[in-house]
Amino acid sequence: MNEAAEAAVRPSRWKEIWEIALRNKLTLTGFAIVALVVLVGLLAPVLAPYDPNEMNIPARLQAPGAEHLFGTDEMGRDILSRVMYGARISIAVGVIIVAVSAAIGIVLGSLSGYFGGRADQAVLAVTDMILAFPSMVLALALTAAMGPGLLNTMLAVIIVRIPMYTRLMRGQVLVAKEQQYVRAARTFGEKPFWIVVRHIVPNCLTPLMVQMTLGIGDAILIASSMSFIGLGAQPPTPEWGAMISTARIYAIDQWWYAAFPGLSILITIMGFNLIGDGIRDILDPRSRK
Amino acid sequence: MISMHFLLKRLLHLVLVFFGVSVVTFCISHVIPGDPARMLVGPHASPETLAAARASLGLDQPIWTQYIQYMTGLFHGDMGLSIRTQMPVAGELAKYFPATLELTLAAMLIAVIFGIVLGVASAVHRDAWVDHVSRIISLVGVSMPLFWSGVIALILFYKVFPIFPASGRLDAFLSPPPPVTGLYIVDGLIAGQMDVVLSAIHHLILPAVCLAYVQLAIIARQVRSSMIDVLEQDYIRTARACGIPRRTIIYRYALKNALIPTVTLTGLTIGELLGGAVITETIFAWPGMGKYVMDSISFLDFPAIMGFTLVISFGYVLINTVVDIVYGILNPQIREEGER
Repeated sequence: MNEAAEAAVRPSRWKEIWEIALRNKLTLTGFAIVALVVLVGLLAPVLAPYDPNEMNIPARLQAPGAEHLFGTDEMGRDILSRVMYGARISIAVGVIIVAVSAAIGIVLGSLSGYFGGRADQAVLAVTDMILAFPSMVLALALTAAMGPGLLNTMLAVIIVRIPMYTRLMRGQVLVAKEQQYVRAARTFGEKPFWIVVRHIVPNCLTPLMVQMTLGIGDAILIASSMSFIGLGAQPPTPEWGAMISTARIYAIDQWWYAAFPGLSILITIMGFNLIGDGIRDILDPRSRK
Repeated sequence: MISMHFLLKRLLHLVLVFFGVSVVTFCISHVIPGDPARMLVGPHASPETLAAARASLGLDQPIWTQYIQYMTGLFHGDMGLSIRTQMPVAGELAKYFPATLELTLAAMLIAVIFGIVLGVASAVHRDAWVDHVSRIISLVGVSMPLFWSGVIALILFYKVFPIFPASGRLDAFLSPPPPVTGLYIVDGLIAGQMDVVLSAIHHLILPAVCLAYVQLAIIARQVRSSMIDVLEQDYIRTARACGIPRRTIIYRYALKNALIPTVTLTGLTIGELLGGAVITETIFAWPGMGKYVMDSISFLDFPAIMGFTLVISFGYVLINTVVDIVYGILNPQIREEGER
């Protein structure tokens, strides 16, 4: 009966959140922005007017105009096309980083929260060590150690972000495991592993969703920063941070080169932040002020 | 008054975290890279050179011996030789440290002062235009990449409206003041060289504002939300009912309590500012540790990068301990919990 009741409650909770979110203009804007960026990224091969890596030296550093809406870079590549392909990379990078770090964090956090003991202390000690570093600095050191590149950058950001999800999940589990429904499951003799998987984890996911949505924006930001300092995506990859890194030399005289990739990052991250803030407000009416 | 027990407990925690940080940096520098010696001598070195480098780094020793050697080195201020400059990393970092400190301190002041002002104005005039403007500033701030705002600031305030210089800490025709603290503004004041002080401030404003903006936005959001919470508390309502002037209620009664959560945030802010300094210093050619590490990255100068990581993290941990203690002083509840 318990499971049936839960199954009935959970979707309606999400439906409720979804309905409130749609009524809030800012959250809706967030959804629209993210949908647009995802769509542009997915349809880049169809939408982009040029090949993002096609060089055209005679047309180098052209200001925005009818032929190149966002202008061209120092190799004559079309910046609009590169920005469109960049959406693919950034969204993929953000989603993968959050998915992997949250998945690992959820597993570690629920195990350490539910079972406690030595394993819990070890998990806490390791997360403490990682959280003692400014995230950007640790990501930088890790990527430098593993070698520059987008994949290593993602791995570094995942390592840096796991403790946040672990801590959050652990805190949730500590509260949840004292709840009546968990005690009931225990009384019925359910195995601890299944209690965690079936009852605790699904009930702790909502606050994590907020963190994950905000986390995608944050992951895009930190990964593009790594590309900017030369450790992430390497040229000629049309990654937004890497584009701005090259654009820096030209930016003073050719404003469009840095302006459009940067604007894309700003808008994308803002979209995720608006969604994250919106969901948080729904879940925690106190912060709705 | 704060108890000795609380203080000792925080200091013990500090030592433990320092130990943890050293373990992580050791792992990053000795365990993750396939071969640190190969990174040192480059991909084309002969096997003999590689073996010599391995021996000189102590890599032929067991891992715990390596850790002890690493820690002994650290205690003696030895962070190895920079591959790029062939100079001791510790000395180089010490040389660049004051510039980073000056930039970070200025950014922190800007972030804290304007963040609080914006947050309070927003909370007090909730849903009025001040609130809307302040919320837009915050939203853009938390979504804006630091490296982009720097570039845009240069385009706007160096190219379009030539108000601020683009690089460096002083005008080229000025020589730095006699070093006391290494902070040009302070040293200039000590030496009574007002032209140096003014030029230093002129050079500092743009990078400091860019670096501060994101944190300013975060602080403003936090202050707004905690100020709104406090303004709805019973004691504020009572004060209002008693006819105490609005201004007194806001600044004397409400703000003090609303700022308590902001204290912790300020500690975290420092970490973000120190991390952000790498980017800001690069964009504004600011001769600090961040620019030093950025130059090191292009050479994959590993000792320099790890030295920077260690120094910044130690600083970050130290500052957060101070913040914890201040928080304990401000908030007796926490202090008592710590004593239990």
